[in-house]
Amino acid sequence: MPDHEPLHANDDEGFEPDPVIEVYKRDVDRTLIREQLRRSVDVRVGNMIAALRVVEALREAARRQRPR
Amino acid sequence: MTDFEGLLRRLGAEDVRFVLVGGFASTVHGSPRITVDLDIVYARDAENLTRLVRALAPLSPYLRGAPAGLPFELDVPTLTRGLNFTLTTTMGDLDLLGEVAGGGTYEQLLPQTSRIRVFDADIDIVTLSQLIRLKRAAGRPKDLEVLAELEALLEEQRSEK
Repeated sequence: MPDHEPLHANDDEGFEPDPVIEVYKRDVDRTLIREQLRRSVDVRVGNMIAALRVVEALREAARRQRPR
Repeated sequence: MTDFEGLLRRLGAEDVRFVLVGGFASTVHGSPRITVDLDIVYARDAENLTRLVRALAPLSPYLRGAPAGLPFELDVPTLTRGLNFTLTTTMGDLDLLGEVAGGGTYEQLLPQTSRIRVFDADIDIVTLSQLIRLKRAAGRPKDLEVLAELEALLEEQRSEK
């Protein structure tokens, strides 16, 4: 059975900030990110898939509503 | 809708060697965005191509967006002649990447990965820093918001250590 590393075990490298991305960062909702970081990987993935199902259901409903 | 669990289990069942990148990797790292396809960078040695074909052939893989009826068959010669394939399958959309800008091949990416367990499968996933580098290297204006979020995610992760 392979060892499972912590998700950030090999992530010590940095990179140069990009000035354009820094501007976009001002609008990022960090409260949402902090909530995500408190969740396990399984919960993050499960929530994303559940959200995708909702989106797909809405799209299908919209397709059915289109006038013929 | 893409069956992420089904695809990852199929790849795992055939011991396909790949690195998870793209939107699903972002989700694993903590991005709250949804993603509609699975992106993997796959090893291109002959054995792994054979495993990949075994994993995907039963899923009727076809080139996404291509007109119906083209004589496309995902087999080892096809994978050998090509490099990156955007596919639709009976389990949803899958992007097979032999090489990615900013990261290179499977072998070049592997040192910048962590091994995690998702859906009872062991998966090599790029680190968040490397994910950011790949997105930056792709250079697409539509990725600027995503990049901002990923970089904020990295800052928040590091501030929690």
